[in-house]
Amino acid sequence: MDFGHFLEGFAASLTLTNLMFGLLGTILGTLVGVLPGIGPALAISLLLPVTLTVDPTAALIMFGAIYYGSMFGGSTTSILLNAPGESGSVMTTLEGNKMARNGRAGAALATAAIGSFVAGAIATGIVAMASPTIAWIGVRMTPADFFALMVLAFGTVGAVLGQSVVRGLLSLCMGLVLGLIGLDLQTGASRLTFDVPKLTDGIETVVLIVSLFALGEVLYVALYGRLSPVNRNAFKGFATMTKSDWKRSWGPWLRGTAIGFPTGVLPAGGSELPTFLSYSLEKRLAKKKHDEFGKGAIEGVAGPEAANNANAAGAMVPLLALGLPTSATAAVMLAAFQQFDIKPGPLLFNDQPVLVWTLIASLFIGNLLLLVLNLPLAGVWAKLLLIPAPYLYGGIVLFALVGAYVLNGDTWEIWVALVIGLLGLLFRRYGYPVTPLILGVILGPMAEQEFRRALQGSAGDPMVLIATPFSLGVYILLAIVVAIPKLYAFWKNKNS
Amino acid sequence: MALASKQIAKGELVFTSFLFATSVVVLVDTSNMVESNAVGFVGPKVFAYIVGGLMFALSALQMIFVLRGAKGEPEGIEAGSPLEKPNWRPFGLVVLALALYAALIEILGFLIMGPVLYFLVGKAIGVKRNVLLAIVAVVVSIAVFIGFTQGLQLYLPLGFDFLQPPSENIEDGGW
Repeated sequence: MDFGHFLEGFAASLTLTNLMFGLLGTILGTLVGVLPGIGPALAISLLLPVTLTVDPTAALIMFGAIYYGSMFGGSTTSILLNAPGESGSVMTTLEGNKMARNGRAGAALATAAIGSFVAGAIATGIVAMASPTIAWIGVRMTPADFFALMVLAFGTVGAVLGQSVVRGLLSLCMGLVLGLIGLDLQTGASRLTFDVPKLTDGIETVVLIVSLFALGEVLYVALYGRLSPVNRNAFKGFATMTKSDWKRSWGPWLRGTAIGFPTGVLPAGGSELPTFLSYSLEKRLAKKKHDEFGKGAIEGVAGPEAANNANAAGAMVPLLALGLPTSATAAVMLAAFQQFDIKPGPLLFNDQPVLVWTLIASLFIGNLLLLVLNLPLAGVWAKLLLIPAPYLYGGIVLFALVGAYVLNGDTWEIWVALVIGLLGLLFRRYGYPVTPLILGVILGPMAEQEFRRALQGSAGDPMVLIATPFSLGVYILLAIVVAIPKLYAFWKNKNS
Repeated sequence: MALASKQIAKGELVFTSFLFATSVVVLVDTSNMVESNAVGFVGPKVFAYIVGGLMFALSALQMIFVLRGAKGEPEGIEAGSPLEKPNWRPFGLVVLALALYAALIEILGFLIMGPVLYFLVGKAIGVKRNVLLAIVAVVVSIAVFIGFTQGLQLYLPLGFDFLQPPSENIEDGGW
């Protein structure tokens, strides 16, 4: 690890502006995690307009803090409301809400917050140590290797997410198609523009993300939703744990981190899988000791919450070191980098060491701020749950359309947003996952570039794509990742 | 798929056809593209053909699944539950609000269209208290306006340009 730059990054992240943006990010992130209907990917995309004026370091610090913060906040709704604020908190709901009903909401919130902190700190430490090594490998990679990695991301996110492999991959294709629209950068040929001048610039990534997440969700709720008032578990004051809670929590925290981090590094499609794995592991381990599972076991909150945060931190490794997002939120963060014309990847560590290390240091600080914010303020966050959802949806739409407009100061983007929003509605209605689409739009053009570079180098011989051991290994890994769940399902069917 | 119902989901069929049609459009557009000679070994057509072809095959496959009775599970809604039958009235209201906003933002300005948008969306999704909603709509819009124009220095239209006398043409003095 690059210790000199790390200290420099710490110093840079401690400036007043950066601290303010970090604090703002943690507050917004927690808010987003708590409020229903807004996830971290949507929150960051709604805030992408700040990239037009705010300095890159500050903006990226804020986005990183939002990512971590929302993981924190999601646990609050799970525990107090029995409604997971985002998909990574579903497992927390199972035991967390039962603990709250037994009057142990404080302990549940505390183990979630401290567990997230522990996991976040360990995982960020690993990011700091591992990223330069991965970046070192990255510098030695050929275009074909990069292309293989992107295919891996496409394949895993497309095939793992969603109800069927075909639906996931079709969503990815839609994203790739939308990414094709506009002028081809190398030759100036226009693709899918249908002689509409505005389309030659392509579709703005920001508009696309915002309208898919925000407008798609609101239109879906309007057409097919019935909002219902929720039952809340009361909670006031400080979130604290007893001595025995501590004793029972630290093991799950560490195991959760161990599960969450690697699944974040690999494109395994976000935080559903690691939280599920951590929950099942803790449940199995608890059978030997005091088994409270089903009645409010603190282990069932501590493990998944740690896994959740370690997963978010793990996603930073491929994002920073290779420029490769492994989750929807990471993909939106990549879009933010692109807004600044910063290309994450191996060269970033050499070109902009201060930016990278400031970002990493800020994640440490943000993590600490989250702990400070969350233990005493858990009761305050809980009050926010009283805001009726329709008021939120109004705000989401307003923010989304303002964001679309300010990009170019043109109503064209608003009309595009409306059309893409309708597409998002249809995706939700017919069970197509949105994340592969986002990944396709953002990574598609990059993948094409590497693809063409590779073939250019080989004078058009497609064998170059599998010529290096690295690329071959990646394709084998992809085959394994896609095949395992299918084989597992087959094996389970056979046994039952 | 052994227990798939015989009934074919119509909406799903239409949507899959849409995806299929999209892939055809991509393939046709790509084949009509004029490629210059100076593109080297791989021009802009190759990747577009791969994407279009992949989507063509996948949507055809999905079409078969749908005809055999496959049905997508609608996504869950965080603060409520999804309905089986569509609710056209609120949906129409939201679309109307979005279209009105897009059409009138530069004419009437953000300070009028912002609150209108917020109010209509809130109304559509189920707010009962009109006065409170109207107040919140105005307050939120003003906050957003100040945040974006003052905080981020970004431009949002004030509208009513038609009331001002047409400004005299100032000749661009050349660069």
